[in-house]
Amino acid sequence: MVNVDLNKNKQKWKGGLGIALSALVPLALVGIMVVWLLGSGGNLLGTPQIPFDELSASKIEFHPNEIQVKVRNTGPDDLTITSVLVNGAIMDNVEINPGSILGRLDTATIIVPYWWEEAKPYVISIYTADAFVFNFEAPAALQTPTVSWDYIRTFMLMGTFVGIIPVFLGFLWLPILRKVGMKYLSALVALTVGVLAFLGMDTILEGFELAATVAGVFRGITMLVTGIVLGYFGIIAIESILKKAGGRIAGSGLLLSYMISLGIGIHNMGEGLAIGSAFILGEAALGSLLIIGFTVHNVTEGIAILAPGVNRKIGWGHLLAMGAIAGVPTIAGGMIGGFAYSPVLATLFFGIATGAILQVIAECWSLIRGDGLVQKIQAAPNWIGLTVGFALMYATALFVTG
Amino acid sequence: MKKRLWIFGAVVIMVLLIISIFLFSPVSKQTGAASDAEMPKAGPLDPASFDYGNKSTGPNGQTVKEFEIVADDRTMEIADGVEMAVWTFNGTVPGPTIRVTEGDYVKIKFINKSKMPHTIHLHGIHPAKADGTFETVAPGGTYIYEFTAELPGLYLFHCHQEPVAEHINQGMYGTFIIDPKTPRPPAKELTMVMNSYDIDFDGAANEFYTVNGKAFEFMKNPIELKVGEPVRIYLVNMTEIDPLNSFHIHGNMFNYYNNGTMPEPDQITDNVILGQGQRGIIEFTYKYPGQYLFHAHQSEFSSLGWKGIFNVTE
Repeated sequence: MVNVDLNKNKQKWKGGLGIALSALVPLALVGIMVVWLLGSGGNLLGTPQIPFDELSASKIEFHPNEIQVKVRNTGPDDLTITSVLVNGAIMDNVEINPGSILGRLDTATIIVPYWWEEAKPYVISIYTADAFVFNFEAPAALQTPTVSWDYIRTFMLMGTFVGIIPVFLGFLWLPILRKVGMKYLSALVALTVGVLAFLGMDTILEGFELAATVAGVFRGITMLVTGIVLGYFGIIAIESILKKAGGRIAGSGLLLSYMISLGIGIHNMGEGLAIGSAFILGEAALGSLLIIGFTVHNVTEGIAILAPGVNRKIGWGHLLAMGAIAGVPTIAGGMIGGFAYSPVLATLFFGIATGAILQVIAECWSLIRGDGLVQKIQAAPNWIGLTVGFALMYATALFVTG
Repeated sequence: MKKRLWIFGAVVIMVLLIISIFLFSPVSKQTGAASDAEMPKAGPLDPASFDYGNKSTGPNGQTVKEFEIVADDRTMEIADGVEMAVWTFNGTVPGPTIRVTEGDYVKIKFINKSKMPHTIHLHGIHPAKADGTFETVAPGGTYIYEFTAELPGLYLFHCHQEPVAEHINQGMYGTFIIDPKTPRPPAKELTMVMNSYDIDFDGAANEFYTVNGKAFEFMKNPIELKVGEPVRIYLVNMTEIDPLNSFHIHGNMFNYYNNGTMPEPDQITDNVILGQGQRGIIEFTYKYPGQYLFHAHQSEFSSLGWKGIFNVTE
């Protein structure tokens, strides 16, 4: 036991030093161990020193008469790039910046002068000095967007069509929703849950796909799960801040609708990210069919946003604000995906979108009439609403190609 | 309230439409789809067509043969209903059959109207400057290959721009014949270029094999031959990816002159195997009338388009 009657200042100072020491000593010991393991203790377990190279490509860019590949050494040791091939032919005049020797987690940009053609597939292969071969594929080459007004306009247009217009089109059903809502509000909320459940599934599956593309060292699945937790509690935090602050949103009785817009907005940002990054990865030419598909698909989102609030007075300002919250992030997503794509951040992001949608579903759930899960599902308006919501999303998703 | 909402909706949609029209105009300019639709069509090679060039006499009395070869980008129906983007020499795949006589001074003017850089690399004896390897002809550029034709035989030419495999896959090759001063005996003469198409550009496998450019062309339009008529085929193998191709005829045996450089046949057979870039002269005469198949003896290739019929009549 510590004697509290001793000189307090001295005690405090001593305590501070003790804590600092107890924090630093283990760090120092770990440091010494790492140095020793890297040096003379390296062969502690007597394991053979087999080289194991791992190289990841984050971007394949197509510029006029030039292909650029951004690679990162995601393996345990240094690696040296010895040859760069395009479609099975060794290229000369290849420039590797900053150099062909990459330390652990170092990145390099490989610049290959090449007369590539639009829409053709290209496989960039990289040989390393330890005789490892890495193949990176661009299924259909497309000029990589550089930040320019033309591309900003393209992404704005894409976002407007995919994110903003459909949500507002969905809002136009408000009079019909009101009619239904007077009698079957619970069914409408169930419909919203159906829509959100589909979006949530869609988002998490895409997240898993993305996580699989992330280099092992960055732990894609962990990133995804972290994102889900962040998204889930993020929505709770934002909601409680809004409630505390009061103001127009909290006072309108439309807080849940706003939260749904926010959840959908984050999801739509992910959609924008996916389309924008398709540009970068040379995976798809952004066809009008894709835009049509997302447009039809996203009309349902407008209905989902309004459903819980149809019995309230909804002013123009609120409609505009909710539509913007749900739709505008698509544009931002497109630009981030197109200009600054990173699979790691994208995975984290899809996690956040999933978490946000989960939380919004949880909130809607309490508005559905009935006490427990069974009672809620058994009521005809509820399961019909739920099924219709999910079926609507499924049917409109058929318009989305790829 | 209802009315207000509809007015609101209409206003929002109008505003968005106006914004999107403003946004759309520069975007449509970026797409190159329209120009693709206007791409000229390429055709297969007529086996009986030979380009003898423009003949004149040089200052030292040497015969001069001048040719013009234009490279451009086209699309071609390489099998029924299958269109492929090709790069052509004089608008056909395979390219023209250029024919000169031993001792001629050959001048080939190459005009590159394609959007890719190309060359013409001729096989045979010539100075390095006429080899078409290092002198890349940029889009819009021209180059003249000049040399004296030596050693009669069957040759070929192709684009040697890197990546060569891609340029060959897309159709940049042709036949080059140097006739001996004493002509070969008269015969019905045909050029047959065995080729392949990797239409998905995956570099792993060909989707079509043909002779003279279009799959199954001579199944639908058989080559007409006469009983007792000597036939001479200039056979060139320009297959990509697969190292070997073969030529087999039914109901007959033929004399085979590997590369056409020696006066005596190398073998008498009904089936020859040629490596990439290999060629040879084939001579035969049909004894009996009827329809005879000719095809690659790799069944896979014949099933994918390299198959035809000789219709032999009295």
